[in-house]
Amino acid sequence: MFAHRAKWIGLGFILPAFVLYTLFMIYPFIFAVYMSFFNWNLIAESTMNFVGLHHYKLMFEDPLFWRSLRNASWFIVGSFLVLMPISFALSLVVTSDLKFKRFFKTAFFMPVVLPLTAVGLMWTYILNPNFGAFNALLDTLGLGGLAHDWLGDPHVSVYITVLVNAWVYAGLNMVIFAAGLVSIPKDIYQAAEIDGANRANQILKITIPMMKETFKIFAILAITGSLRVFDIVYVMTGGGPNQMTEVPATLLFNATFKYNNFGLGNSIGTFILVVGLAFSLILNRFVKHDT
Amino acid sequence: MTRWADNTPGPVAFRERLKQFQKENPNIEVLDESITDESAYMSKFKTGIASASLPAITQTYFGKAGKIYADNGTFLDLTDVINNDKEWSDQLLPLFENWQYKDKKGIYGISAEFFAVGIFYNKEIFKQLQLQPPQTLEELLEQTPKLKAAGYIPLALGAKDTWRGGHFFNNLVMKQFGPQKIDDLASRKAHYDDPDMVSLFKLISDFNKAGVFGDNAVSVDMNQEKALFLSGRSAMHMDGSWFIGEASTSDIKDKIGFVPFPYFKDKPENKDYWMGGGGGGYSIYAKLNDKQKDAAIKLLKYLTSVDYFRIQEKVNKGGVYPVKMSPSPDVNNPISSEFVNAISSAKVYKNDVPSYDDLPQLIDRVRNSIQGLFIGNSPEKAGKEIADEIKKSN
Amino acid sequence: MKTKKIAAYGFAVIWSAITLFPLYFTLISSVKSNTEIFGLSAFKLPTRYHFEHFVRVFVEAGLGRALFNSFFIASISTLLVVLLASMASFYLAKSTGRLPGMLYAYISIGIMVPIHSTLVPLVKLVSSIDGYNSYFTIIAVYATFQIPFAVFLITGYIRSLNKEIDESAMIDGCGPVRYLFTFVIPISMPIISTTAILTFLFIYNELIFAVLFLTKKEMYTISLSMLSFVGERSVEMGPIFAAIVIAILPMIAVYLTMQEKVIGGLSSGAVKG
Repeated sequence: MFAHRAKWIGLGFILPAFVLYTLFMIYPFIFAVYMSFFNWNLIAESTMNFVGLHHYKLMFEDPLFWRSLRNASWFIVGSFLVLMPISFALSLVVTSDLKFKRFFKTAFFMPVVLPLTAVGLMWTYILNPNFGAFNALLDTLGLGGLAHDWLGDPHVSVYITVLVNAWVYAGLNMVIFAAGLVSIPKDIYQAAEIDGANRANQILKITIPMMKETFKIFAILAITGSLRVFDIVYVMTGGGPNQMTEVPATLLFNATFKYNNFGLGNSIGTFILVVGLAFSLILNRFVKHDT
Repeated sequence: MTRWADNTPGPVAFRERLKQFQKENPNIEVLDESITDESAYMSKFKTGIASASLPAITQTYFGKAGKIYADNGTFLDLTDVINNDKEWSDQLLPLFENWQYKDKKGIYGISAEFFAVGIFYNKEIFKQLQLQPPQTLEELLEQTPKLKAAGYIPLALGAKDTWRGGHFFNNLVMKQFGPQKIDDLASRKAHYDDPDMVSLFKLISDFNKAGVFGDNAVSVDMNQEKALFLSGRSAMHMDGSWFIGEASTSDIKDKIGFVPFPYFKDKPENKDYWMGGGGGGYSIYAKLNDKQKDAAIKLLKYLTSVDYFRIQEKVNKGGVYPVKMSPSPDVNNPISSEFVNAISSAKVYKNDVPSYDDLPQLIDRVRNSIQGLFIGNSPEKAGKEIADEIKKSN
Repeated sequence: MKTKKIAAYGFAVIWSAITLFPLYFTLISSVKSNTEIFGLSAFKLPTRYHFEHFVRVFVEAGLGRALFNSFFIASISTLLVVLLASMASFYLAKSTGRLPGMLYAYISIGIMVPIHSTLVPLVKLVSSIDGYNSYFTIIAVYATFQIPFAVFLITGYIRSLNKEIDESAMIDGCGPVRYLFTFVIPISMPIISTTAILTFLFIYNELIFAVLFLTKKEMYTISLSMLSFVGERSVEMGPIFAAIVIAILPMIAVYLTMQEKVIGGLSSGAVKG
């Protein structure tokens, strides 16, 4: 389509986006990456000393950093084990012929509409060990023994945050999956039904393979999002207790904005990006897009 | 730019004052960029410094870690301003130590608040159980089983907000060792993992296990802590003068009393050492031109004059302020009077213990380790974590 | 088939309860005092109804103006993103060769950039062009940060479309511009609506850039004006929840309008010959 002279039109198409993006995002980020090799306490007037890989060394030697990576990987695991099945199931529901579809559509999407801070606060109350509804619910179901200090117990708090995160984003990913679902022509299903395939088979053999691209999109967004997760953790646990639930982004924030260590903050940022990039490239290799 | 951007009486009066200044000084434009949320504030502050575009007056409360701003000429040295205008500066209480740094001459900020931390208590609960509010920490521990049996939390502490544990710790240090210890820790002569410091961590841990702070304190934040006290479920609440306003408009305002933070039975000589002092203050950006500087200084004086604090006193129904003024007779608030009475015997005030150290991350480190005590970490571990952080930075 | 239907309904209903329950919490909290929100009564109905919270958010927090700002900024930014990203994705999805491939990779990196890394340099940039408190600047910044995500989604979608129509269009002499606006965009409505919803949402609820770049009260967005109820040492949750209730109403409206396009869209696909 864009061969030969049309090529220039094509480039013109991408130009505005390119300019904005480069100016406001790439240029600042390159600066940040550049600064990861310097020592700077974030005061405009003071000097910046080149320190090479010093911050990276510090970062890799800090057990807190590895803990934050472990926590971030729980978000990744949670995305595939919990978020993906639920979002996919939800998207099936809202694209099906079930009654009250519209109501469900809105209900499922509600968590995404709420500001993340509000969501974090709400769940913090629900999970409160002293008067939270969740423990109360367990009690009424006769499972009182399972009651826990969900956010205060360092062994469980990470998983809980991952689950809440899944709760928020289920609706969002449902919309992404739904967009993929509706692009599959209905005739294919009809043909399969005539051939005697039942619903489950249809989903397995038709839907999922045809949505490869959508799944790939989901995977990349989930992984990069997990690496960058910040708000939900910050609001619900603040990275605590005693820094047990820190994730790379909270460490970045503290280093840059509280401890005047701009270099360290940027090395974390660069690392997040590089890892995200690596994953995306790998995923792209695995899922080649075809017609 | 301050952190007073919300709608409680104090900040509202603050904004009124700015408007007043604007009216009286039509040729000076005042833009209030205050933001209350701490993380948003820090982002704004840091990006402002990094891009050399800080507001003219900033609220600073960084303790000794603020020295790098003095070293780099970010903030103005106000010594001359103070000396040149005795009429104004004589009214100020001598609370400059937050903005004075060793090896660096000058005073880089003026205190905007004066605070003291003690214990607010629910008179009715104590009367009901025929107890007096504890004078010593040992008494507090003794009273705990009785209070718990009656269904009350002795002293709810919102350990989720790390600064709650931090403040409790500060008070312990003052009552156990007095102010000298703080200087020793800052000069690194004393260490956080010394046995005497570890004993304080142990006290916090033991108190938590005994239920002094309530169940699962680590999941309770300051708002919940206050709610527990104001709804009558917690018998006591550790807080500072900032709480007087809120206490005076709460449902239980007629039941609230105030006593000093308990002292150690065997250290009565330390009982007049309090946690308190100058809280946040104003610093002036040094990169202003002369006209802007004069305007900023004028505004600064306007915000730290006795007139202004009289206004604050009225809207907060009392409280204490960083200027020489005795409580106004118009303010008839028993809570405030009790507060003022209690602090009249205070001899020395000190701020956050780790804030006297040069290391900016020490405050968080100490607070985080103390929070660790609430999830079962050993006192030794807490001390070691902090000591290691200090060693790492050397 | 029956059991499957029941299972599906059951699942849908349970999940709806899970998602709507916090909304219920928000609603009842919006008229409660702080003590009732935080204590044991967190999930019970209020004893005293503080409807004045709703009044306060308009008077004290200037929510009216903030609503306008948020809505205006989010709408314009979303339009900008959809337009620029569609154009870019069209080019990227339909071209072969190294340049498009590299450009796609270049833009995709944008979804991996942690925002906080860019804050300091960005503030420097904005301050040097005196871009504070300017609709123009904040829209540009918001659009920028949403473009990679949008391009990523839309390109993937266009790529998976059937190529037959491309050829017939070319044979018919339909130029790229006309083709984009009369064919591709309509067919891609599902993903474009999806992108629009998500973009709008993100910008509407965004906080950090608003904090940094909008300092005058008249320019405040909703998230900023909600902060005015966050005290230095305490938080007044009632008004915050009231503000949230008011704030999400436009969101729900936008969602419902666009949702029709996503799912009610062409499920039969114009590409089947």
